[in-house]
Amino acid sequence: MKQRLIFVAGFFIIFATGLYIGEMRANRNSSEPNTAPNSASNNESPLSSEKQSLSISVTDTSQSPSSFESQSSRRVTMDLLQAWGKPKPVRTAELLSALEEVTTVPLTKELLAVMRQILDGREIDEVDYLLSVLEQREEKASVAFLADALDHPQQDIRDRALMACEAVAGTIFSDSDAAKTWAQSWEPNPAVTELFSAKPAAPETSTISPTQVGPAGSALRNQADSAKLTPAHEKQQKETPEK
Amino acid sequence: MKFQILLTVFLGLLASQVSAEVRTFLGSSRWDTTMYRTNINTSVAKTSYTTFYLVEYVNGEVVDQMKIDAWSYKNPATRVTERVFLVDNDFGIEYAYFGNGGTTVAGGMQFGGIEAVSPFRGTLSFGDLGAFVLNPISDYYPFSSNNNPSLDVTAITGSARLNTAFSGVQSIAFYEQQVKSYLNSRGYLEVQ
Repeated sequence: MKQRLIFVAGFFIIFATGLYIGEMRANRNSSEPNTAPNSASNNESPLSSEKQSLSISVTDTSQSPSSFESQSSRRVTMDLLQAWGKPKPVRTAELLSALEEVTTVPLTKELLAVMRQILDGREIDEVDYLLSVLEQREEKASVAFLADALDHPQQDIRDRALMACEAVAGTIFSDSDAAKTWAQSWEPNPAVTELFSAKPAAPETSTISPTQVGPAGSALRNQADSAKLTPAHEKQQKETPEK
Repeated sequence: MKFQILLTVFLGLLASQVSAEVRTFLGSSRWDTTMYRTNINTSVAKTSYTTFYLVEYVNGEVVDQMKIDAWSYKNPATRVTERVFLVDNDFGIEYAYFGNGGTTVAGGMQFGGIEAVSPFRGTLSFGDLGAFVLNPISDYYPFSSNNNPSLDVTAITGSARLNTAFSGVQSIAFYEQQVKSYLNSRGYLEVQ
């Protein structure tokens, strides 16, 4: 626990320094498109003492995110880091809440590094959620991340990453090698990019209305348990009289 | 005998005029849930599922639909990660309920058992829905208070894209078996 806090504190310092340097460079070169490949070596990550075998090579051909977009990525990254520093199961609950925002913010180097740490944490609930939100992106950086996860040391994560690749590809792969081949030449569909990045419009109140309002707002928060439905819960769901 | 042959031919010709196809969308759904346990604090949590949405069309009209959710969980007794999937036959789609045509469609999905109307937005691809995003919904269905624990779904979000491997001119039952076989091959067992 103490070691974990030291590592997190160390990363905060390094991250803050990187942000400061980044801001200085952004102010100087704000209109310069970033075409340099972004690569991260897991051996350099200060976040974990475990040996990490993943490496991500991403070629970002888009323009650098605007200052506002970078701020949103930084905020999400900080939220994830704060959640990561907490003990389980509080960590999982707060991590999943923060991950929901990953669907739309730019995937910066810092954000990718934190997501890589989540992947290496090997908690199936956290990894499942992470890959789920990445499926809701249509860009080369997220596909590269999924493809890299195909080589993860843990079988469950490799299998989940394969299904995530299949969800993005719109087909089924015979094995992970086929998925890796697909990822190398995959190009985003502009229509899907626009769809997945668009914020939802105001609900059409005339056609969709809640059938019943639950007392969720007054529920006590006890994040000691996962609400992942087990087969026993699903049986109860099916037995419950409907409507 | 001749009549039976003629009747069979007639029915065959009649069936051949009906154009049926299934489109399967593969993606993820993420649920916000509140779980209630008698005499114990409630739990508010989030979960995610790999989700297949199977929609059967006849002459362009939705005639049948189902949803299959797959997920992994750590068995609390054995601490081993297990994989399961659930076939939700009551899943209803009215994707053109308030559709606008053009390049964007929108509609609602009713999930059997939880009465959650989930609005989604999608993009048309060559005249058919190619992908969609599930927007967070605001519909609830608290389970029977006799259940312990009971589950209240407070929001569903996620996304899906058309999957060509499970789409075509076969019946929905055919593709349901295809998806089941696929999940079995990946180590998922069906929840009964």
